[in-house]
Amino acid sequence: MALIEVENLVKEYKRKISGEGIKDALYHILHPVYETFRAVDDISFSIEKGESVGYIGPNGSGKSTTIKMLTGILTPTAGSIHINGRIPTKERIKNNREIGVVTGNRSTLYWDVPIIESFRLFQKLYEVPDNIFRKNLEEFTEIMGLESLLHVPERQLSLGQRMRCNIAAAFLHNPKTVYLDEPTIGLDSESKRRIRTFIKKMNDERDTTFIITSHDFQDIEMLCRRIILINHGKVVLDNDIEKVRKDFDQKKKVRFEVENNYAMKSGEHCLPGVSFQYIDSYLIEAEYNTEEVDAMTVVGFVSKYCPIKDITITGRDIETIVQDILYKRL
Amino acid sequence: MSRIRHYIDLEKAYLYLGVYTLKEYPLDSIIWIISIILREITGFIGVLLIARSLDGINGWDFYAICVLFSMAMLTESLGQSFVDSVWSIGSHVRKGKFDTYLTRPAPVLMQLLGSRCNFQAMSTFTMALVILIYGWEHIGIPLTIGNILFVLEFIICGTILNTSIYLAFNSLNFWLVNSGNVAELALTFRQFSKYPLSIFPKLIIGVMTYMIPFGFVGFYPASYLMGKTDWNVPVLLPIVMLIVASAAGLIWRTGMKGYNSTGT
Repeated sequence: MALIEVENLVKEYKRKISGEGIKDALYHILHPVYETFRAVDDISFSIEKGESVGYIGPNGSGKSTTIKMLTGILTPTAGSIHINGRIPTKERIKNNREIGVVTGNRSTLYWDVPIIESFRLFQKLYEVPDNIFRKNLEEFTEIMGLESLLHVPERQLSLGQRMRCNIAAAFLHNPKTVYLDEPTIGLDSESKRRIRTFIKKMNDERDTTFIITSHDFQDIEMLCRRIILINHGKVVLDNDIEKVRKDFDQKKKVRFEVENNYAMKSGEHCLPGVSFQYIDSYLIEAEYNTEEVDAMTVVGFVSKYCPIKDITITGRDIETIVQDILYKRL
Repeated sequence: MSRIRHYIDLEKAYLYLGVYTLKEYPLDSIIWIISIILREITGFIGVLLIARSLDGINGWDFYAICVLFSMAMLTESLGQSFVDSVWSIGSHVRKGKFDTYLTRPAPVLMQLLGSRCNFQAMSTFTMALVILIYGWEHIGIPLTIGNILFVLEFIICGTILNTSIYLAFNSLNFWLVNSGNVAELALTFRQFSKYPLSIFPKLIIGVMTYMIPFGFVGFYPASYLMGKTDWNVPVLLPIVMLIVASAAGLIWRTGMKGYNSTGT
């Protein structure tokens, strides 16, 4: 059995409909009307130990709701979740000992006391033996540069520093699985880099399984081997990230800078599998299908007509691929 | 057994954080202490003035009122010191703060209660003890082992009872996410416990005895000490406490089950 098994998961919220204006509002107090809203609609997947999964989708697609059900905060309306064979809401405390949770917009540390005091409380909370606690603390301090932060109260730290401490806190008890809900939201590139390096290391060296939601595709590309894309509460795509790239990234673009593109433009020359576009008088853009032609052929073809000054080749990154899948431009 | 030891350890860690917070803001703590002492004293003076102008309230003279008032204050200040965070259930629900507690390996209520301590309130606890001893001496309540044990029993059971009532009221916030603080209602009722209950109409006595038994955090125990009641308060008090605590626990648990987090 996989570490995380999710079957036909559904979460519905009841929302009260309140009318507009005072008259409607008063009427609805006496006759409340509810609408049900399906935040998560029949989702199934399974995740093996040591996997790193990017759980992505637009705002309001049901990402956080899924994470909250996986971590036992919310009870599913229907369907089942098994984490290491346990139902998180039924065996909450046992399950919680083996997980770590990081939420980008919420800190779990104590505002008024130095970070190290919060860590010590977590040590008690998770019953971490002294030697493991010390070893982890030392290692995390080094990777994420916490040395100067440990003895400062949380309220005096910047957002990035606070997040680094929160992430370290989530790993102190050697969790089997860590859920990261937008861990890099609002952070600068240095903080993001340190956090990514740290998570990657935990995944590589300790085989910690993690599920990460993020709108930053650099997070996903650097950290995850697999993505699950959801939209409107349903799974749209669940696959290996390299496979997704190969499957959907068949079109590439070459941009030529030339003396003058007139020679090609006027001749209306064409090559099968390539579409040319002429911008101003000195640029040529060629979009080609990687299955039909290779880059060298395109370059050779263009150079027959115009002397080339410069070339840039761009493939689509995973972000554009995802956008295209979501908005059906494929 | 090791579970219990673990929870005691954890509670100690929470208390330690409480002390740490206290010394992080020394000026805050001092202002806090001054203001709660002033608050309690003004309340006390109010009751005393009424007692004096009426030449004692319904057979309760100045010293009897000292005993009553100080006993009610003992439970309240102890609750404020250690478990004041029952009052933050409402804000926890609104801000979705229980999410964090739900992902940790300890009971949510314990984590909530550990999240804030106001040890400054120990100053009013001390003040209450002094007033109690003062009244006790003047009335001449016998200083027997039985009476001392009863005061100890009262401090423990009364604080639990008091906190349970607050917990029950504050747990209503699970259902009334956007309403103002319904729980403040409990504080309004508690005002009655500063006066001898017997002066009130039967309805209020009934409510304060059987429905929201604040009568047991002041009036009945004080009456027992001064021989003003036939009720066997040492036996009744733990029973009332158990009933109210179970009811509060049930309301809390039901509310927690329906907890739906926030949209983030």
